[in-house]
Amino acid sequence: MTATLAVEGLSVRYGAVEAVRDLSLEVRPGEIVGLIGPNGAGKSSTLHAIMGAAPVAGGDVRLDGASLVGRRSEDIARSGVALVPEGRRIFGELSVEENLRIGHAAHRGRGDRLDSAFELFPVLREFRKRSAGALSGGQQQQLAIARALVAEPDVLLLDEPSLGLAPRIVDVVFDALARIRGRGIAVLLVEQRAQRTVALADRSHVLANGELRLTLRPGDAGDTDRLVAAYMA
Amino acid sequence: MELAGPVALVLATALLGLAVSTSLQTYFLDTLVKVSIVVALYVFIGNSGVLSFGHVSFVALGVWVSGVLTVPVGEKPAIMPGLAHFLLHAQVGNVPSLLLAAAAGLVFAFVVGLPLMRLSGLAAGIATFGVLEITNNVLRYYEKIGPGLNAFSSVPQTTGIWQAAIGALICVVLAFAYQRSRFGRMLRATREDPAAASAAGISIYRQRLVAFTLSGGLAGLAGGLYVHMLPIEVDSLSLDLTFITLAMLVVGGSGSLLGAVVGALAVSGLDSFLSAAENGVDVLGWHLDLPTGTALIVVGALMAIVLVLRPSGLSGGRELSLPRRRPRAAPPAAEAAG
Amino acid sequence: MTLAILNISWQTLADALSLGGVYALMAVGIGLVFGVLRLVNFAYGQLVMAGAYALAYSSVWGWPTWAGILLCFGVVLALTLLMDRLVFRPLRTQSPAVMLVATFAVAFLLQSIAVLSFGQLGTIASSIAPLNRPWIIDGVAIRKIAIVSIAVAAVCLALLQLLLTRTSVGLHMRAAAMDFGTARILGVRANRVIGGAVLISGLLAAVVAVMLTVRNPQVTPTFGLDDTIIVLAGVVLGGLNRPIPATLGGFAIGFASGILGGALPTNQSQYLPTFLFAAVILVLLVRPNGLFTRSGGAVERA
Repeated sequence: MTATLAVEGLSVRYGAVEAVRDLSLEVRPGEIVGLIGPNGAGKSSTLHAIMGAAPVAGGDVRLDGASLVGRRSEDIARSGVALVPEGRRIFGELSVEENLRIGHAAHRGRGDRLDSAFELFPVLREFRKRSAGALSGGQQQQLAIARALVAEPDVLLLDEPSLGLAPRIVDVVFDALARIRGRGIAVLLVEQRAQRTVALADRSHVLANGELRLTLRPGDAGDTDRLVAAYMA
Repeated sequence: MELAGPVALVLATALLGLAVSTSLQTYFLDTLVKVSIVVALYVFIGNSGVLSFGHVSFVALGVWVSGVLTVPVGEKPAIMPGLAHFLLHAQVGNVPSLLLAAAAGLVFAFVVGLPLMRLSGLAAGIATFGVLEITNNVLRYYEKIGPGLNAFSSVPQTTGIWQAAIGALICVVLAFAYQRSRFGRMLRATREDPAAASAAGISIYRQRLVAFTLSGGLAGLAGGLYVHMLPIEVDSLSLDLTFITLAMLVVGGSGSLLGAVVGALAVSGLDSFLSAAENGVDVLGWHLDLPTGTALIVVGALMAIVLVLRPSGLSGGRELSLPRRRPRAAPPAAEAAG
Repeated sequence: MTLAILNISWQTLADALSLGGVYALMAVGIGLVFGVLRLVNFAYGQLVMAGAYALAYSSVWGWPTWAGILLCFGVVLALTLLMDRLVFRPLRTQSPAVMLVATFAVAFLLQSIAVLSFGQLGTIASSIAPLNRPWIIDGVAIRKIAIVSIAVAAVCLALLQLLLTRTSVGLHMRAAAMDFGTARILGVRANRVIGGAVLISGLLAAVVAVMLTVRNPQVTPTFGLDDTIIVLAGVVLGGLNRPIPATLGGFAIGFASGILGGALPTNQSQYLPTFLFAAVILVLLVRPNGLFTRSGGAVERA
């Protein structure tokens, strides 16, 4: 199954503070769409709003035409949207396998897809029974992504997966993302590493102060910093 | 003025209490003493936002100190057979005993607060609950310092309406002075936004300790008044009293001094009326005879309902302010752009 | 031989183990609900009381023992569900302080209702009292209930362990207790997890009610109150956050109470609450998440 994620005129407000204003974007199956920008630009808030974990003040989020706004997080997850949260948020006291099994909670069919997760990230098979807290940062990131994939989502949201990771591990993660794209999943990638994201994604939106300012294509990758800076001025 | 409302309410209660028959006066006395206790509670809980289940131990200490020192020397061996030697002959007058009660509450609160004010939330609730249990346990069995399980029966009943009212007013005025003072404002800042307050250099720990100590002193004073009202025993200085005073604060609204006073008066009034009805009372031509325990149920239900439906209480956390004649301020600037 | 030196009889040992078992079950009941709701249910003791009254009155009405036990379970479960719907769920979004005070209020409310309905004096559950009679093993007398309690507690704890580690519901509960937000994002259903925890804690309360009533057939409105307070202390000491430390804390305190109660003369044991709560305060200051846990958890500090 595949699905298109459409964000239309989304506004997210925490009390008096508007984190996202009138944001529109679309992610189609087999696409990676990047969301880059400085800290506090509203990127995380966008992902949380899609998952029903942030207050939507206006606009809509649609999965294949059906609105997600107002639904509970767990129901959105069960509709085929998976989030890899910022900071990974794995369950440190549970084993790797148990972490993956929880990811299965949102699975819509029968069968245990753990094997496909191990195929994408072989290192996890080694640590299967170990406590997740014992893994390194990079391994935990792989676990977090694998956990989200276990549910066989149509849409995968990632919140700064490369944060705090060594360059070599970032390669592993970005390679995996390319392969995930190849499976027909729609990927929305929030990142601070602007250049790599622009290079990988089909298109990358630059967010600042809650607003979409600029859209870049892979061809712009070499010029990313200059282009972004020009729009921030 | 924030002070006018509470003061007026206390005075009104006192005047009303003077006007009724002696048999009903006990209820008014009880109400006024409860006001003192609840205001003491408010000084800490209201300003810091931290829960304390332990304040009744300061009341209890006030009861003990004031009671032991004012029981006539001749009567002491009868109700306090295990009393330590130096206490057997100690005797002070009424007012000094009240001052000593307040001092005892103050010192005890300070000592207890030194370690405990580092805690917040659930930990503070459980730790202060522990203080309550410990105090109750010690006062019960340590007969060298008081009557243990016996009631304080020979204490001169010097708490009349005026004394109770003055005591309540002292609490109200001190609470008001505190919340207007620098200390009070600093503590309130930590309640609103702890991170910003620490960043501004306010020591959360120190400010909480100040409030805790002051509230302990006020509670001790209330205890001194309490023991001179009727014979008290240690069992009534425990969970029941904790519950009811907390209920009063919750129902009235823990955010303001007015809330504390309103809550104490309203719930106490209701409780007194229902307790009287449990003994049979005539109201407007009807005879009410409620079964024992109704009062607690109603108060308990009321507290639960208020918590679920309107957690800020009757007063909504606001003080009473008289309308002032001043030019309208300009409308607030547009909300910060995201 | 060691037992003789400490002046502890086999009876005392068995009693202490059984009290430890009962308290362990109560600790789990309290700990499970805390894990998923971050709410300390002060009113847990009242659930036990309600169950005890069901047993007492079924006995007064002449019902057979098994019917009384069924009634006990029914009453406790109904009350638990009611508490959940009317109090826990509406308050889920409030601060921990408000929730604490609310359960405190509910505890008093229920106690007052009991005083109103049943009076202060107490009712006797005579039908299950036979379990209090002793078995004579090798010339040593041990009350049946002690052995039965230990067995029941062990079985319950084993079943619970299986539930938590081998089923997906159990896994979801554990995950929710660690990080509810993330669990929901992964598809864990909040209501099911909470409902499950509440249900289990209710079942445990009913089991505890039966066991405590056998030990002490006189049921009053304050039945189970002291036990709950002690168990709460034990849970805090052991560790409020995780089921295993909480259970250990409950067991330890029950066992210690049983031994000290049996071994110490009364005039020394009366200060037990003081030592107990002094220990609780110390632990809260030094290791706010309990003696048996690793650091990092839900209990806040300034």
